[in-house]
Amino acid sequence: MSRARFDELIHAPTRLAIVSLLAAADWADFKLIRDEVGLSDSALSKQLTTLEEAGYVEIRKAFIGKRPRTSARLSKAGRAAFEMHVAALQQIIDRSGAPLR
Amino acid sequence: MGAQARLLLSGAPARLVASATTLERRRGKYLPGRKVHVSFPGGKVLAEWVMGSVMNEYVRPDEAAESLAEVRRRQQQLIDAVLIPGWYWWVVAAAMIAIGLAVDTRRPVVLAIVIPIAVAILAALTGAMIFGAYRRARVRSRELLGARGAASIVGFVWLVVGLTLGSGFALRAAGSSAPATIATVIGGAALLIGGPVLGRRLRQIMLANRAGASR
Repeated sequence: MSRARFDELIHAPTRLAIVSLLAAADWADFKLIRDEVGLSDSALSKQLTTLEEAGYVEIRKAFIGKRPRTSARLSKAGRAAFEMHVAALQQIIDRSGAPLR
Repeated sequence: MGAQARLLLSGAPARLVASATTLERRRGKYLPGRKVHVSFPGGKVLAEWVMGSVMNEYVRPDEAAESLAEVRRRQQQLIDAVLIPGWYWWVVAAAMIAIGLAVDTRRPVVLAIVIPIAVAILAALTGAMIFGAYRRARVRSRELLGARGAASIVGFVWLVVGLTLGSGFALRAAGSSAPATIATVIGGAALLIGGPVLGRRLRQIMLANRAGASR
């Protein structure tokens, strides 16, 4: 189990959803994240920028033919922060003795 | 910088501190004291990060459980988005049976037409499925599937191939009039039954190996 550290930046509901999705992927397409999390393009862009500023996410922009394609992935720091955040959540539950849903 | 702020920043990732230092030096903002800076590239990022050091004291266990459930749900979502769809097994089974039927006609013309078409359809659909999934998201297959996942896939392929070829040869030896057709029907049935079972097993393995899963 990772060292526990609660991360408020990741804990915000929308960002938790994005980071959780990205944690299972090497790269995920912008559209996939948008559709799975249910955000508008601009809202997702804003959240990804916040995560990128924190060094948690890397954004890659490429062209397939003439179409731009944006994808994102968790950086090493982002993955570590996510794992520590999950460990912190688990710790909160363990301390209280409440069952995990 | 106050002692409390210094304490809060003491666990800051080195990268963040370093980038702040560079940026602030460029802007010419220094704290009275010397090397340490409190302003980060994104003020919001810093504020939320600093809050994180103390927030966990105020997160209730039920909220934490809710958040962990959300983490699991989102990771399931991504894994489901890239798993083999149910229709794929039907297409592979149909192509196999078509080849079996063609073999049993023993007519070279039929074989020359049916086999390339069946193989082309299979290759095109498999390619489209893999490329489509790969374009949407590249799952951490090595970490998520691991040796157990790889062994499950290889084992399933060998099971279907072995069952199809084994039953085909056995039927031919027993003098059946349509050994290839019957063998591919058996193989196709194995695909239709085993394919979704394999999918569920891979899903379970990936969920067990996902980042942040309790081990």
